[in-house]
Amino acid sequence: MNQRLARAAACAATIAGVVALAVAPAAGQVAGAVPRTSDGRPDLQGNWSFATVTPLERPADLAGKATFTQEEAEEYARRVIDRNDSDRRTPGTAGDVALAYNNFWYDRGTSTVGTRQTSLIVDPKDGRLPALTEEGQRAAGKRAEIRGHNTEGPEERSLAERCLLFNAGPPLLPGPYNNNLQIVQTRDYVVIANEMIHDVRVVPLDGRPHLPSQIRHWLGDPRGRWEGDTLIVESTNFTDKTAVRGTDRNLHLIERFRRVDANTLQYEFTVDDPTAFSKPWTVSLPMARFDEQIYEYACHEANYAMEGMLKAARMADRDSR
Amino acid sequence: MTALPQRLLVFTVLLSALSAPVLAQDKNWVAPRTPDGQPDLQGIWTNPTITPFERPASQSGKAFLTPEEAAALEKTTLQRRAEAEKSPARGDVGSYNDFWFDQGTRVVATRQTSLVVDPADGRVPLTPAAERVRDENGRRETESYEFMSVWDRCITRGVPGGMFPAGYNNAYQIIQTPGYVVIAHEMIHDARIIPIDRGSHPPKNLTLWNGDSRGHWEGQTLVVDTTNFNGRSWIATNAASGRIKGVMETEALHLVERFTRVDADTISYEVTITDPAMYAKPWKVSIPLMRDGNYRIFEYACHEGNRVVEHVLQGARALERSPR
Repeated sequence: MNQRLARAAACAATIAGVVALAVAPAAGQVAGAVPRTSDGRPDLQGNWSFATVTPLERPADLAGKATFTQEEAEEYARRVIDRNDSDRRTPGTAGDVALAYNNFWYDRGTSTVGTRQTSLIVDPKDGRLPALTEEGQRAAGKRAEIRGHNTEGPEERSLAERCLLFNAGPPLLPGPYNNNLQIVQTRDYVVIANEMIHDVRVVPLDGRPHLPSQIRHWLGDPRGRWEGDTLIVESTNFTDKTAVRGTDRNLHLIERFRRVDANTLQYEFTVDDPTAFSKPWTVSLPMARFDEQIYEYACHEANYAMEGMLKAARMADRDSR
Repeated sequence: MTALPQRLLVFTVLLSALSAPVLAQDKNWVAPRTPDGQPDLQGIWTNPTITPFERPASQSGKAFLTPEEAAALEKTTLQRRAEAEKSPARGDVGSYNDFWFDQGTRVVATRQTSLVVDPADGRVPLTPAAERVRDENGRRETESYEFMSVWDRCITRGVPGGMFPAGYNNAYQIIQTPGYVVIAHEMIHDARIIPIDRGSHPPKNLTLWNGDSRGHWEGQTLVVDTTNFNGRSWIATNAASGRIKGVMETEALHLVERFTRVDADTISYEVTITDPAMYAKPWKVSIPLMRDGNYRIFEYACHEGNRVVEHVLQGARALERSPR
């Protein structure tokens, strides 16, 4: 997304924020025209951006503070933009070959979410991820161990590097770029297409049951339904290969999409995963409408990084003998 | 696949009078409509078939099979498959047996002798350049993954290649709103979100693996116009497409696809392909998509757990090192 688009999204986010603030942090009922489809449901269709500088977890220095003032939000955004400015980094680290990815490539958003919440996590109240269970800690330890050694094959590299999943959810969380979504909606299905790694979820709304538990999907098995004007998407049947901040195959994900006004799609999700987390946690992430085109996503075509990393690991293996 | 005897009867009666391979349409049948009044194409559709992509030399000059010829072809095809299952070819290390395939057991309902319907001889008018590039890809396939098919590389089956029948996963889910048509392909989980009556193609310098598709309605027919290809994909990626597997899509490729619901259980799908460097003239493919209410599309896995590309390249490197 270009700067113009980023500005447009930021502008939309600001407008959305003014409206949503009335009922912060989870934008609530707002009077006003929400467009509807021919079958009378709120129309969620269009392109939506969820780029933001608001962190997932509340930073330690903001403990006890749930919301920024307008000035604090602007100041915080300035600091994050400054910190993330990859054109100002010190050159020369081994892992940063030729200063790959300069600031041009990133599109992290330029403002906090409109509600000015200090973290995307709104439950627990401290804005922090709840503790992992013992089982969750063991799994996290195993993943850290794999990351810590020279990888033997692609299976040990991250799912994003392997172009399998790329921070594209579900659930949706902002990443460094491509934080854009397209929704297409009928009475019977909602299609949720993520710009990142062109993952598309076709969510049935017809009340059919979840797949038998032995069938597992990378993106889970989504089932949608309307509760009033909120679209609820519940997903189960995840694999144990995905770990969104520590989730496992028992993840029961509840996502909520609600259009609060012409320019805002309120997105929330709850992670209920008793084997991984000591209690459920909930994120609130308002999305801003934008009317630019989403283009095709390319992942591993013409991308030699995986090959390069494995080759380098083999060279390191040889050198250490 | 659900084939209704009633529909076959209609075909049988009407086809004797037909000279062009179009699907028979019951004049009294009216396509269901979406709430905004467009013909409703929604649902899960499949297109496995044993009808060859191009017309075989043995059928030269013959556009349609008789019902008896179709039945005979279906019978011999199944016999050949059963035979291959019993006695694997020499050097066959035991890969995909029939359990893994879902490639259909019937010819298409029109009994056309090839999926290519224009030119009239049912053969793709390949230029020498097209054959040269295709053969070069084939010859160098084990040099690097970059010469392998874009499907083997888990990038895409391409447009229109993703609509051509393959050995399995021949299913498409269509979802339709006033502004968009979504075509979600089971194979390699590609999804096209096609804007309807919205905007024009982006500038020429913006090129895409699957091109830029724009749709509009012409009467009962959804017409999708696609340009802006990146010149790196293949027109077809599956063995079932015969001689055209591996022919490159150039940046000049222009597609016009036509989706027409001709009865409750059939969409007529046609695509006209224009790419002057690859084909001496435009050519057209016609494939019926059959409604299948019982088909369930599951998540598609491509290169996860699949070591074949790596092994093919390793095997080739091992051969190079071994003394001749």
